[in-house]
Amino acid sequence: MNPVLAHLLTRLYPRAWKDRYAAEFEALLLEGRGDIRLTANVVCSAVCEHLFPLGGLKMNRLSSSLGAILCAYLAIVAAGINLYATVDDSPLAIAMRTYLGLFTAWNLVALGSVAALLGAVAILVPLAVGALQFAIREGRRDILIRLSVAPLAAAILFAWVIGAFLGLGGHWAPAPWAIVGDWTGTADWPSVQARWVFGSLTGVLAVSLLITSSIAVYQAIQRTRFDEFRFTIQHRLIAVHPLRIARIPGIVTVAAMSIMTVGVLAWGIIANLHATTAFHEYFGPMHTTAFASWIGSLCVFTASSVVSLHSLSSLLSQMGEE
Amino acid sequence: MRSTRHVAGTGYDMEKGHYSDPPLLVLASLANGPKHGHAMIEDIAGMCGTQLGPGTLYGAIARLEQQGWIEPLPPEDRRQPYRITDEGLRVLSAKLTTLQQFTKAGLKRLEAL
Repeated sequence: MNPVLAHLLTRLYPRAWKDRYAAEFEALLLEGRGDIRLTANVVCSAVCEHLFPLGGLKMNRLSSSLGAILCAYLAIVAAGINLYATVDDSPLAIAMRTYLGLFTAWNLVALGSVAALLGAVAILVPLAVGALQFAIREGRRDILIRLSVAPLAAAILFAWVIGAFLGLGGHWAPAPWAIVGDWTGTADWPSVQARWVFGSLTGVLAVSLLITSSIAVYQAIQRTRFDEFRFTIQHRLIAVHPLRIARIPGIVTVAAMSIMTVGVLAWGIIANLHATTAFHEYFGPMHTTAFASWIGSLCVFTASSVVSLHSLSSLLSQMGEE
Repeated sequence: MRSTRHVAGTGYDMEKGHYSDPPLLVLASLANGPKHGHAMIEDIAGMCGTQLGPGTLYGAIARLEQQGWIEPLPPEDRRQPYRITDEGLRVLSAKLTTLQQFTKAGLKRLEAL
């Protein structure tokens, strides 16, 4: 085969694949005829490698499962913030002091959120360290860029909120939950129009940055070839694999997210029974009712739990295979 | 693992009786000694008439290597030879035994016609 065509065909493969097989594969192509059938075979195989990147690999499946759990967790964080901001400073918060069921369901969500946070951090730390080590060692700028997206997104959102808060007089933070509703804004707040514009922009920015961060985290994990961490304790060499470390926290995180989802469901049902009036007042984001806000959060909680439970079943089957 | 549709040509060729399970073919090819990619393609073609495309071959090699059923040897120029591992031999033996049982049963049924 023509060396230029062989080189071009090899370039069609994913980066991780090329890192390992490019040289020998190109050598093999040079030995063959450059006919259409052979070219089509290579193009189809390259497409398959992009669609199913070494899909049968245990480590690849493991990192996919953990990446999916982390993304589901990020979505649950967003839904949780929405629910908290809806309830905060509203009659629903007062109703929770009166009704034990409401109080219990809310605290179930709070307990779940603490466990999920600890689990997510315990997944993220070994994976982030492993990905960072690999990216620096192999000079993989694509992974470094993806790893920096989430902190950068948080910084952008923070800068936007602080900038808008100061720019609008320092009395109103541009939150989608504080635009207009069944309450009266104080006189030093900006106009309703300004609140709509800035509150909406915050909502759009937060959702966009969250989605971007989730994709970046997932891709960074997918593109990394995780190696064992090796260290010595009392002259004994210890070798642990970051993906294996992250499995138990993965189980904890998924369990905690499921508990939170049950808590959110129970909380809404009880609120609808015992705090009906407050539950249907406009305390949600963008002039929506607390009920609508709860439905939105519940949908995200449920979808994230389903995704994470699916990933957990894959995680457990891999542990079973070992 | 890839299915038969990833094999260059028509997959299972009814006329010529080609067998096309790329990972199994690669394992079988390496069972009588280490080989590099081009040698594997020729050996497989001679063994069962299946002409594996380079993309299909390396799809199988990558997965077999990751599963620990084959391993690379030191390169010869730009060619990369592979050899089958002990685990790969066990897998090959188990798969061929299953195929043999299947073949026996299938042929018996044909004889009964």
